[in-house]
Amino acid sequence: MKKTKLLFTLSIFALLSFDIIKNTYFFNPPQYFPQPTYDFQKNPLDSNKIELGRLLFYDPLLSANNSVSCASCHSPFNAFAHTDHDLSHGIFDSIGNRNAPALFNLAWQKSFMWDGAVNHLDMQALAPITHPSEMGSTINDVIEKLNASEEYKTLFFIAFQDSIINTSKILKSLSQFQLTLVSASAKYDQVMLGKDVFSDQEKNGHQLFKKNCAICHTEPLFSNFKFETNALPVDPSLNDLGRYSITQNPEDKNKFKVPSLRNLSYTYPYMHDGRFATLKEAIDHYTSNIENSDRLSPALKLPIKLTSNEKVDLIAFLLTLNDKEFVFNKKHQFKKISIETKE
Amino acid sequence: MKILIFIFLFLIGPLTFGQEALNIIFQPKFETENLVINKTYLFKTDTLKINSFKCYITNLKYYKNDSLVHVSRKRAHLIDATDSSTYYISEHKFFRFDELRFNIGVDSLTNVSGVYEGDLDPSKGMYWTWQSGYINFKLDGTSSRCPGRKNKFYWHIGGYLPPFNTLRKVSLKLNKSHPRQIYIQLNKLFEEIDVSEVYNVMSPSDKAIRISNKLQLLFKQVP
Ligand code: HEC
Ligand code: HEC
Repeated sequence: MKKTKLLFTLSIFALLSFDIIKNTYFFNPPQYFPQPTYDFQKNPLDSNKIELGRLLFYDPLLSANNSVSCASCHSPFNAFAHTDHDLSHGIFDSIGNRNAPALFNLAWQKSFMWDGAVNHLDMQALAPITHPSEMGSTINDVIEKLNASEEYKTLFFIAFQDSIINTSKILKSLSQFQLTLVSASAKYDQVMLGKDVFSDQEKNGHQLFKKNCAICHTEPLFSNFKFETNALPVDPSLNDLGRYSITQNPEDKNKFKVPSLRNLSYTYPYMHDGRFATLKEAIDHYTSNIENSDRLSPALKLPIKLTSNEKVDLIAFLLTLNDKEFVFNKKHQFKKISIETKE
Repeated sequence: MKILIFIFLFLIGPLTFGQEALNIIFQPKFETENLVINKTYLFKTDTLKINSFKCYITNLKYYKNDSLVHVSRKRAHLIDATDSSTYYISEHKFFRFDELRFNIGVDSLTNVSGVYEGDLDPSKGMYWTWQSGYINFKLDGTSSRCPGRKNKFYWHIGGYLPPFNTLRKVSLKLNKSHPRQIYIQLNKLFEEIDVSEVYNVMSPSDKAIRISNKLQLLFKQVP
């Protein structure tokens, strides 16, 4: 009796550890990263689902007229942001009202979109798929098109051991791919791991950063993922009030989700409406344009004073957050999957 | 031989008894009639049509003498007037009860826990894609008193975050006559809410709260 019990617990252990191995193989952030928010137990990563998600991410089939894919607005070479436009461009050349954000380290985010309109990574893809000026489709249309494809039916079967294609499987696969987009191999990370050192300039920039920016752009993810205002004046042609449109709480006017500052060299233009084309403009905003609004975070109440040398140092530090290995990782790029189907 | 059959029946008897199903029905009504989609109803001074009615019944529990006897095996149940089979909720076993407790709508934990299959599948037209959250109760149609475009009204009641939490709890004490039949008396909502004033509700808001506060009144035991 005791023996079987032991055997049972042992086999449970073996099964569990197998699961962990599977997951950590694809998702292996450094020790100094916090615990992720995403519940991997509900959607354990495995290579078949990740690859299926990758295929979906790059497939314009997800849009009404097969012209726009997720990657149309989230390009791997821009850390999955979009650089040509300040505001995103979608189906039938329609223009959205926000700048497409970079996509990485999504497993740590509690909410998505600039205003946090989406509460879970799995649900996020529904927004662009159905948005009339993004992909202009419906989830039922997407399911129908996927079902009409023998290739996708086979891939869904391989991934889920079940060929019924439904919303949940589509969304979970897209999440799986996006969860593997971990950016943790910038120079900054090498320094954290003791494998590299900052130059004097970068070191000074890091100090200035900790003093002036880190309260919102918190290390090591470079965001506290809260809604804050950095006192950008409202663009009257957009009248985007950010978080307020979700909560209707006047306290939340002009608040936006703090973006990460990793990979800035690849993700220009900056801010929710892409108003700044260069990093220098963005920093000048903090040193000279901060409006004194009563909703301004205490962190910005005192003016940020930086000499031009200090600005150069700060930028030098910010550039250590560029993660070339992430941006040029082939595993994240488009790959044609060919499968052998039996005749 | 006979004794064998007897033993067989003896063994199988409790099994079949144990598997006897229990069905309850949530029947949408308009006044005394069963709801018919797109039928013209004359209601007081109004001419009304319902194009669509869907509603989540969740966390259904059965009570007897104030103690819990059964928790429904299905976490969420979507009633959809285009498919009357959705009016039935069936449980795998038989039991007696004198009270039903359930939620109208999807609870906040489910709302923030990612994607589900079945009745909670976001493709059922009861999920807001641009701002996460389930629609708890949806009633669309036309009313001659409605000033909206083509007299259309949209009552999409949802929202799980305070101050716009629209989930409503119902407990229905049932008398012995028809404990398994519940009416959803939709005309009642037009008595409580003035469709000439509130006709475009498609996000969590004060108006959604106003309507959600009346939803409990629609659920009645068959008299
Ligand atoms: C037409 C351009 C466009 C397309 C196509 C598009 N997106 Fe986006 N994406 C955006 C914009 C703009 C935002 C920010 C929206 C907002 O804040 O309201 C965004 C936000 C996101 C976010 C949230 C990131 C964060 O940090 O909050 C994720 C995740 C995402 N998109 C994934 C996808 C996926 C997956 C697809 C394909 C199913 C997709 N996007 C298709 C433009 C696009
Ligand atoms: C009070 C919190 C707060 C502080 C302090 C703060 N930021 Fe920001 N930062 C934000 C918010 C919020 C945004 C997004 C604003 C928007 O798009 O409307 C942002 C955006 C940015 C962006 C644009 C990123 C992108 O991908 O678009 C850069 C660059 C930036 N901040 C740099 C800095 C630097 C450098 C400092 C210190 C000098 C700093 N921030 C201090 C809150 C803050």
